[in-house]
Amino acid sequence: MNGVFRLTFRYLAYNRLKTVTLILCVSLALLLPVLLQFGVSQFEQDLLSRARSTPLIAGAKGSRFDLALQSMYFNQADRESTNMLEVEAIEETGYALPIPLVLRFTAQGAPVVGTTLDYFEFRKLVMAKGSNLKRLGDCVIGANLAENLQLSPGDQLMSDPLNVFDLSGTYPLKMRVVGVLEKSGSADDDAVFVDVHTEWIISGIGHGHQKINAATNKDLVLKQEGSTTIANAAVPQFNEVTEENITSFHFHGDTETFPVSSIIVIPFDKKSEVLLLGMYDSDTSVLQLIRPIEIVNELMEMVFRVKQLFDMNTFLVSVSVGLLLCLVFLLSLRLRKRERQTMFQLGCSRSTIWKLQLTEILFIVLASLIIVLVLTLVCRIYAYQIIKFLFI
Amino acid sequence: MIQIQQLQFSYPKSQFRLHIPDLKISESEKLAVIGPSGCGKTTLLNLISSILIPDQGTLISCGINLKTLDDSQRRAYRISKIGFVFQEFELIDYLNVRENIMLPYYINGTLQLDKAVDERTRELTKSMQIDQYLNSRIDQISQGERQRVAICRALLPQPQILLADEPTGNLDPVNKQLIRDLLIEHATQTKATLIMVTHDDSLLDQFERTIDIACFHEVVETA
Amino acid sequence: MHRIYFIVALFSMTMLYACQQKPQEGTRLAEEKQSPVIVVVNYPLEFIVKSLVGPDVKVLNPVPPGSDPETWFPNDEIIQTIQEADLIVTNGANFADWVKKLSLPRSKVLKTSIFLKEDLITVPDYEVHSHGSGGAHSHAGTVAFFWLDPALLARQADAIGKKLIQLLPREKESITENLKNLKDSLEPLNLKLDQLRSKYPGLHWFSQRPVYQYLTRRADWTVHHLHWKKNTKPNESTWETMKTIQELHKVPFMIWEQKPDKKLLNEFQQRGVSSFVLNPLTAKPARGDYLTEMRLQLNQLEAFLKSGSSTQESSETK
Repeated sequence: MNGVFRLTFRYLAYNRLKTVTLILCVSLALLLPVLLQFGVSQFEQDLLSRARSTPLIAGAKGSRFDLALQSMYFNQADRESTNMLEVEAIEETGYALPIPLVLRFTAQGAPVVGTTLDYFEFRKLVMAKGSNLKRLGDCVIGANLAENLQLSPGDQLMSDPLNVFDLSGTYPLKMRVVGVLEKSGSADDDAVFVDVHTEWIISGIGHGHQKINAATNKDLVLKQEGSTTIANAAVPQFNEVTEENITSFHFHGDTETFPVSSIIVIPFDKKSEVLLLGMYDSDTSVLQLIRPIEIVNELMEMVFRVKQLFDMNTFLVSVSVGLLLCLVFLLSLRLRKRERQTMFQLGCSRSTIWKLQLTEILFIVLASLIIVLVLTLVCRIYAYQIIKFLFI
Repeated sequence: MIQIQQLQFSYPKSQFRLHIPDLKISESEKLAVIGPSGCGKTTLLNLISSILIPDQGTLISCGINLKTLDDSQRRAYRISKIGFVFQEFELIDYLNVRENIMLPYYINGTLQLDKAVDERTRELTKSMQIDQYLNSRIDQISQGERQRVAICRALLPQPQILLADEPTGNLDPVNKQLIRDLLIEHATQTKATLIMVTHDDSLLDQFERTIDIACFHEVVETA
Repeated sequence: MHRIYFIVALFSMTMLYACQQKPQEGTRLAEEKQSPVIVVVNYPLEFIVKSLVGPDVKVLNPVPPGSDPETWFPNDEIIQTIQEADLIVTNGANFADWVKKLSLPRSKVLKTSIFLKEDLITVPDYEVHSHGSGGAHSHAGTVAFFWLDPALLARQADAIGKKLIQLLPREKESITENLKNLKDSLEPLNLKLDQLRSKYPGLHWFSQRPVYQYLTRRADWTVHHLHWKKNTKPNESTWETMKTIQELHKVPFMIWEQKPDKKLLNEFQQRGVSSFVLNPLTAKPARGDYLTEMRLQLNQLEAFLKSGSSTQESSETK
């Protein structure tokens, strides 16, 4: 058998272009369905596990898909927001713990998620380094983000302006990184978590600025009418919350009116869940309350329908690649007729001659399988970089 | 060594027929086979090497009646007794010189590839003056050298019968002589029977006997 | 089309997460606390909680003595203690600056103002400023000093009691009993306020800032804020405002959170306004507790009003 392998490898090495072409052909024909199957099953598994661990989501009426996916994956969907009053309303029912999510801004391209400390407990997120959010201006970052941006507790992270051309818009906030989360293998790994109040400061609903004194800051004060001070736009706003200036930060208006993108609702029991769903299942309700698992199941149905098309395509491609391979091998057999004849004359058995041919096929298939396996593993390990390179 | 009596052979759907009433080739004999193209020179070699089976008659080689052998026995006979040299050398281009010489050992499980084989390869190639090309590719050596490689391959398993089918057909006059001499020399050294098919009358002088195969060739008129 | 694009994007995202190695289970230490810790943001809440729970429960008012609970801000160490508490009882209505500026677990925060919703008093904007592109904006809100009306304090106690029973179900009986006792002990205060209402109806008061609304509403009085900042002197515009209000209403009294200096007192006196100091009890009183201090202050108020009205009557007769 040693001789057969030697001859096979020598032949394949000598005809390396043909060998590589064949291996690539087979690899590509195998890679697509394998990656697709791997991807879809991971997609399904992750989507379902995230959806299963998110009992209910409340948000302004509109696309249920957008609401579910935004709340689970923090993508920047163009959705109507609700407000803190609705969060309070859910809390007041006594049926569930509402966790507000405010998702409007990004920092270095990563979504800034305004929430409360309950979110970390709910998702069982554990700090790898540093501490949890403490005060305004603090942020806790996901493991991937920390790795990519080389950030650790004590560093600072600037929020991105909403629109770079909007010079009069909200100013970026320099956030204090207080903690880095352990890897969770979810969207949380790539997010920046801040307190809802910090997100509102980024939004410009709250801000901090130096105290305006009509007597000493004459250049800043336009008008003083009784207790009303009207200052000009030169009043410097703080772009960072520090121990020294934190007291100057304040919010305008009633907290209850402040925007909330969506609310993760954790019912205390099954009965509470049903009651809540019933409560929001009306035309008059301003909110919609959804079960993410139902949305994900609907999405998966769509994905599987698309996958069926891919599977059909894969089948046809596989058949054509198979036929092509047959043709190549038949031609090769014909070309090597004299070689076989010589071997036969030298005493080689017909079975050994066939073994030689089959070993070649086996080697090509095996090499293709290894390539597919390696590529799948590489995709698995470097998926983040690949997808980032391709999509971001 | 080889004894042929009333041997008849024909190819299916062909007018060709070979009839050898009686032919004896003794051990270590150096025999040249001549005859016009298509008269059955190669067929004779294939019969002696048991690739073809006679339709009738007796063919005894090395004391074995080849007609009575089954496929695996014929193969075993070929491996152990026969060495083949072809007109077109039939070297394998994806193997180097050494591997081409050792080819019978790679493709036959019954032949043991050991250090002795390696040593013999070196000796053979040295005697053929191609030892410097052992690791070279076939397309890197000349026609004459290729044929010497083919001779080495045929000689390596130490056959009792060396069959050479027009081994000089593709060579220049100098190389023709050289190859013939090498074949005779090595056959003499190993006491092997050499049967060489040739068209070239100038090469016959070194052979002990020459037979014209045309005497045995018949063309059967079909109705 | 949009949805398909979305699925593709989502697929990429989930693949991204799926393709990463799953982490090891967190090594979160679920430390069993020896005794539950309840954090409160001001003295009245501390008084309520302490009245309801036994000594096994640690009630923590993180504001150090001498600090103003409205503006005090905790350091990182205290923040952690607060975050790790079993219950954080807040007042709501923007009382205590740190409540808004700290990250707190919502599940552990009891905002007592939620239970008083329909009775909350919102004051008009008292400071407006504008700069930048945002236009004029105001810093206003709900008056936070509910406890100055004992009836509202009782309702805060109800809400706290309910939450405490959830937190300490074994203590249900004692909490219920303590709650009843607390409410009973508040009755004399309610009675006193009712008496004041019937004796001195429709009074107008000045105050520096919105603090006494719940108390004055209970007594059916009106309070006008002069809106000058803490630790500063009233300026010309303050006096102007005061004059304007006095022209509209007869406002004979000024209610202070702490005793003003003599000069200021005289200035008010010269403008025909008598001063009365009523400690809003945001911090623990030097002596006694909420009940004794409120009782004392209401008695003093009654005496003040009695003397004030007789003076007015006598001046009118002269």
